Amino acid sequence: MATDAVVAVEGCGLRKVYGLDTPHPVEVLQGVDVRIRQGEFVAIIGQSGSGKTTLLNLLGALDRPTEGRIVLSGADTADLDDNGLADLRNRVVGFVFQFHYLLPEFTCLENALMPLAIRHGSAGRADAERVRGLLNRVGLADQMHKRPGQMSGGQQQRAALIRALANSPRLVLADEPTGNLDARSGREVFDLMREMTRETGVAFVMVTHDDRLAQAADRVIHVELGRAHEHSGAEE
Amino acid sequence: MRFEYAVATRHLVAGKGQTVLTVAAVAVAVTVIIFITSLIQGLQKRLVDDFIGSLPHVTVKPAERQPRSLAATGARVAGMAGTTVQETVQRRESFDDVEKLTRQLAQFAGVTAVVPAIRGQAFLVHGAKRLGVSVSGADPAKQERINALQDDMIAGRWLSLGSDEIVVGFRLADEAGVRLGDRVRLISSEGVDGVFTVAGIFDTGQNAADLGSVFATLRSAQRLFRLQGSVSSVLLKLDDPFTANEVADAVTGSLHHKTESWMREQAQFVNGLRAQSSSSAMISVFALLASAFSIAAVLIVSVIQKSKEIGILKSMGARDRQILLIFGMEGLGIALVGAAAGCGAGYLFLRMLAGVRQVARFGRTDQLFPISFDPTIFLGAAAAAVAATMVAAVLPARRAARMDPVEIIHGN
Repeated sequence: MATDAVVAVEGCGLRKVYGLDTPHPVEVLQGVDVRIRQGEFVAIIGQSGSGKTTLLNLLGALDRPTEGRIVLSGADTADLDDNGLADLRNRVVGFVFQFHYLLPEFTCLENALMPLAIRHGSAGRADAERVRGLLNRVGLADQMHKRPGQMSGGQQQRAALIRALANSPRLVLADEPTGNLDARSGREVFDLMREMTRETGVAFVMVTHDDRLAQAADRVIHVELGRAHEHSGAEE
Repeated sequence: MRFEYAVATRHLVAGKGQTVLTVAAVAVAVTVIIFITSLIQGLQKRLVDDFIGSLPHVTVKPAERQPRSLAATGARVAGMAGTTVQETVQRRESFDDVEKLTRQLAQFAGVTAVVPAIRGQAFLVHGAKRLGVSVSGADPAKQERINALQDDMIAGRWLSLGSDEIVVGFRLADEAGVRLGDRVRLISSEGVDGVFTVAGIFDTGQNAADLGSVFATLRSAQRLFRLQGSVSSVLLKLDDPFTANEVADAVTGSLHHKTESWMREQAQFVNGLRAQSSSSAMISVFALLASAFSIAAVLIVSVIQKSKEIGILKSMGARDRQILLIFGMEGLGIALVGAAAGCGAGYLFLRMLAGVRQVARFGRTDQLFPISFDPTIFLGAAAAAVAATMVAAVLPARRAARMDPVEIIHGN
């Protein structure tokens, strides 16, 4: 990975303490430095409760650090109010969660277009065409007008992946995106994520418990006891 | 806005049963308010028409001359130790310049009719029968503006009454054994005696009037009560009967005459009307509260059910305001559809009830439920329901807007 590639997100000295106003605050992150570049596919691994998801939320501007600085797509999140963070997430971040969280009242295509609808009121023709292309690309051509309830788990998660890519983000953050799928569907979704990263040049950060998937990443960040250690992925 | 609208409408359409339930709650509340208010208003209008309709709203009488004590007159009487003040008895006060007074009274705001009149007590004598009656004397055309006697006539005529003619209530006619065209004697409290032909018989529906009232022309009454060229009172009709106290006080204040307002004379009736109005208002408030609580409850449940969706929308960059708008629009949608349905149902219900007739006396029929179709009642009920629903929707909507996506998405 070229070190001079554009930085998608950078966190410096990230501390996150929960329950500061309680007698027993919990320090989940104890000073983490992390830098993710465009086009990188990074896996975050670690035990349950080690702070992986917290780190992911901080990188995606879904949460604010107790201490430290996050620069997301060139913007220091400390300078932004809640609306500013929401707009930043909308423009440069895509999320994929363990569960797809597609809106059950909307079709697959409408769900995938949701980030555009949030920003513009509704998706423009060109954007809609592009997203249709992405859905085709991940094999959902015949699922576009179906509701999530009519789709399989793997199809739902693929739709969620395209929704995360709909706004042409700089960064996609995935929290155990295959955790809810059987091994085969999980691998399919993972391969698609890997391919989409290459094709779109997005930075992809994935929290996973699956060591085999982690080994297929460009880099692996190991979060342990609130600190991060980094090593390259086995397939690099 | 299109995004919020799309999400809100999809929620409402997808939530079939829930949506129907909340819309029905609003509709029922609106129907109840329209029905109760229209019924009470119609009922009051009928009561007011029937009851106050036969009464002057304000009666203007000459101020009684207050006797003054000798000391107050300033006259000095030798050896006077003290004086007793005693009101004059049996002294009939009257207005002499009737035309001027009529002009003055017509100037007061809200006065629609000014009727110079005489009212006095007399005996009606027919054969061996001798009955005490109250004689009202006024120009029939003018008197008609006070109590619309013409509508109550069941025999003979009234508006073209001659100076030697009277009309009497049907119970009085019955009691005295008098028939149309019979001649009767009236002996007034002033001791004047006259013979009159019974030209008409009326039925006002009120026993006291039908048994004890005799209407004559002003001229006849002036002769009977020795009031040549003057009257004992002036009767006023107002465009709004419920301003009688204000008008009476204004007349007393500026013209210094004695006034009687029907609202003070019939205080119990007025209290009854007020009690009716406040119970109708109370029923409306409770209907609104019940519907608002059910809507708030359903929306809160819906927000909890959709918390994951709210979390994901927020992670995708939806602002708090957008989430607030989604749930606010859902509330507004429920309110508008419910209010429209309620207005429609209320209208149909009222039309149905307005068609039910009951048999009144002497072959006439009238509405069993006196209904007033007042568009302001419909608009008011709809507006109140929309307002109550929006208040009920605010709490769940704010709760949704303030949800923390991190807690929602990872909180399971």
